Amino acid sequence: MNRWLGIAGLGVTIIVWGLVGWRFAAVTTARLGAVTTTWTDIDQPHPYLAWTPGVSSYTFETGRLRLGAGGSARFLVRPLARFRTVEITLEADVGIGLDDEHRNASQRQSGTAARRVYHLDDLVPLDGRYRFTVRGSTTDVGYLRSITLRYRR
Amino acid sequence: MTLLRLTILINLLGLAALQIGLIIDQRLILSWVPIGFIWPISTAIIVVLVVAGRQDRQDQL
Repeated sequence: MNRWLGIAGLGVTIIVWGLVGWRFAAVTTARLGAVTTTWTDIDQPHPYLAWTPGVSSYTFETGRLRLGAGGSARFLVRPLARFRTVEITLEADVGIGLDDEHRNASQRQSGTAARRVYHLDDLVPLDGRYRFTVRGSTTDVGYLRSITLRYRR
Repeated sequence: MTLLRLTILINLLGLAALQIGLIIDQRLILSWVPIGFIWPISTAIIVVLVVAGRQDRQDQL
């Protein structure tokens, strides 16, 4: 009698706590997880990235974004539910950087790649999106090759 | 260890872990664990098995 009771109890226990464990794993994965997307074909629209209207200092040239010397370009990044931080990585063939618009400061890396982690609240909101500014080399004209977004919690 | 003891132990450890989780971050735990469902079932399992185990010991005596 007790043997069957024990088996039934263990079965229910495994189901109940198994469900809790499975739910815990799903929530933890979502919390720790990140979404990464790269925009290499600047000419094509991207679900998470867009140009801001009326931006100067850059031009399109055969589907690439050409940053003028000392030029900058502004982008809008779409927020994703649950993710409040976005890591932006740029690749270019000239020195490049990302501006800190709220602090009125620009950060220009000497290399051809720039990476910066922004909390979305630190970016300038615009029509439900958030703006960030890419700044090119002060002296050289160059092309932006890719923008990678990594959304984190 | 008998099946009864093992089952009771698993339930007790699970409830203890849940309680610790509630103390650390109540809002997070409540957002993903159906406490109102887990707590009564787990407690009922413990009570039934403890009573059954006790009955078994008395019968043996």
